[in-house]
Amino acid sequence: MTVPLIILGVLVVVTLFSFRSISLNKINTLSDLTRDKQAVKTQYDYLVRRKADLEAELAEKEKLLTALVSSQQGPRIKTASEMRIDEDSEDERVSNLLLSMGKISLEENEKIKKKMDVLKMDFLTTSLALGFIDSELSQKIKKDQIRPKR
Amino acid sequence: MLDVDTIYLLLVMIGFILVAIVLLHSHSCTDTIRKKRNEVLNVTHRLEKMIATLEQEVAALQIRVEEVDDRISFLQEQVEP
Repeated sequence: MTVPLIILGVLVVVTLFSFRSISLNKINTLSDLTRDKQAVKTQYDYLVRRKADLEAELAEKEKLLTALVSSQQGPRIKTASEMRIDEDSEDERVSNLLLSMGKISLEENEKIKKKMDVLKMDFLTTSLALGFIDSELSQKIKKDQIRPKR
Repeated sequence: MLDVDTIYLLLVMIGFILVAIVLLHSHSCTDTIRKKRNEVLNVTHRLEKMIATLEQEVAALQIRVEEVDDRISFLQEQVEP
């Protein structure tokens, strides 16, 4: 009776050992797979966050750039007035000046030039007559910006 | 009392049952692992594609940020020489 009991005991132990090693193998493999998935997901999350940060940074810097460009109006006026000013006629200088100040658009500039011939007036008066600039600006340009004719 | 032959026959039957239990458990675990592996592979493949796209977008954004930085520095130098 002892021998069959020993054989039974050995069978049970071997079965339990096999059962345990199969379960352990399954747990290890599943945890490895989960770790791999988590690693890829972490990388993806990092890139999503990085993209959001960069977009926010870009938006902020573009706002700053726009502000800087707007604040460059003064120097732009200077640059425009310096730009081949001796070679241009007075009308051209006023045209360049108003364009550089952003007071008139290119389309309005062309419209003024066409109307100048019809109205027989200079550029500044024509743009004033057409309502593209106000009289205050016109006076200022006449006083400060336009150099006397040689 | 059972005779010796019957006891050994019972032992053999118990042995078969135990082997069947181990085989079933092994099959079940292999199946679970296979399903999980396929799931992880699918997710990884999908995420890797998205990661590649995101990396390109991030690189493009970095270049744009650098360009804007350069322009800002240039303008700031003009304002405060």
